[in-house]
Amino acid sequence: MKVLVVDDDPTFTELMTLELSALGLDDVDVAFSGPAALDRIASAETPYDCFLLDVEMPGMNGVELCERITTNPAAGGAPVIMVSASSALDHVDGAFAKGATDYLNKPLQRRELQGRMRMVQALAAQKQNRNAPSNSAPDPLDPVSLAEIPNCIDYLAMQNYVLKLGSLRINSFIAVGIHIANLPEVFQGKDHSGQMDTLQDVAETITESFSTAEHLMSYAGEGDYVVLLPRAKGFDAESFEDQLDQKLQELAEWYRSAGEVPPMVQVGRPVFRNLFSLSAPDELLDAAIAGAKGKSGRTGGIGNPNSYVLKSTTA
Amino acid sequence: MTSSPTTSPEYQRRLQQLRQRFLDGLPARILLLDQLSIELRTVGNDAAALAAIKNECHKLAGVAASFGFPKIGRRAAEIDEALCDGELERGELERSLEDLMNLMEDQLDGKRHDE
Repeated sequence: MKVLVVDDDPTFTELMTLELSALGLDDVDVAFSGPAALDRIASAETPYDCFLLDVEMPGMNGVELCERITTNPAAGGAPVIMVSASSALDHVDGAFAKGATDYLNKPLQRRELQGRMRMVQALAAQKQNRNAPSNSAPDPLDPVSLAEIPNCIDYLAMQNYVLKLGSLRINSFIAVGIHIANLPEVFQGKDHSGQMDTLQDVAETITESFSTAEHLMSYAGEGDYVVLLPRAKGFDAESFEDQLDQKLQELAEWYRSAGEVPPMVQVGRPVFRNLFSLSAPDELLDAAIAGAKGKSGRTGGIGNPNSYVLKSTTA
Repeated sequence: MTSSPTTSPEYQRRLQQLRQRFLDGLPARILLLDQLSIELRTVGNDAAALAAIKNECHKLAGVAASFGFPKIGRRAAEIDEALCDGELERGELERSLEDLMNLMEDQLDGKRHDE
């Protein structure tokens, strides 16, 4: 597995290289700035399997570099792990929105690094498996990446982000689940590319229906989307539903005119945790999804999970 | 993952080398922080000096604890975080820097707060 470590502090890069080597990862390159990292990626003969980026660097910071990497086809969609001292943890929020997969604390903890690299190795194996000629493209029933859609991050990154927020900060967020109720019918007769197009159409419609850019969305597989929003900004569910309804109506007309089954969408009520919640932070995502599917989904301290079908998509 | 044991002599040797290099670099870090502290007191360009202090403390916070010097790392992290939040008054910053430099000097003098 080939890793690129980017940090402006040579002492830290040497330490990171040593720790990676202790985990059996010896194919490690180092860059001391964002531009140097981009040069390395551009000139690499074989692509990197993982990027470890310091958040706070002079010039191009780690968040900007993360965006440049995740939008760079030469980077091959390899996982990006942000490395951050506690003072820069807030910047990590921005990095998740720019496509980071996870984060790692400074000072370096061997066990934490080992956990992250195991995850990266599993992702790399999955990717290799998908790229094998005998295997088909990723199954749209799995949590596939819809990274082309603004604010849409991989589901694994969403889970890591929620865990990073922890039990206290997650209380400042609400989650909304959205479910394509007739996925089998919509997918019927479509090839892989057509199925992915549908998932992207729905994701795009969802993200365009938010009046605020401050949201993160993710596709969790099986026609389930989950959106995370800051609670303090207030969420006008009615306005969102109206917007989504209108846009889905337009989408449905387009599908019908093409002789295709339009996606029928269910939206869950916003769910949130409170200070007395005993559930793990990432259970908020499960509750939002369960809510959209109309399952009970009630988890300790998480409120209001139930769903309704948008009227535009029921006809 | 085929992890080679971190207790292997080769790993320990390289870690010791890095740790020694970190210790060897402490005088330069102390001098830099001292210089920046003087600039902060005497020169008008606060922003540049503060940014440089923050950058140096941020780096120290990232590596010191990893090499087995948690007190130095913690003190540097406190200054870094306080500068981030804009919580530190000038006098308080000078005292915190003095404290951090003392911890580093004590380490060099063999008083070894951290070990």
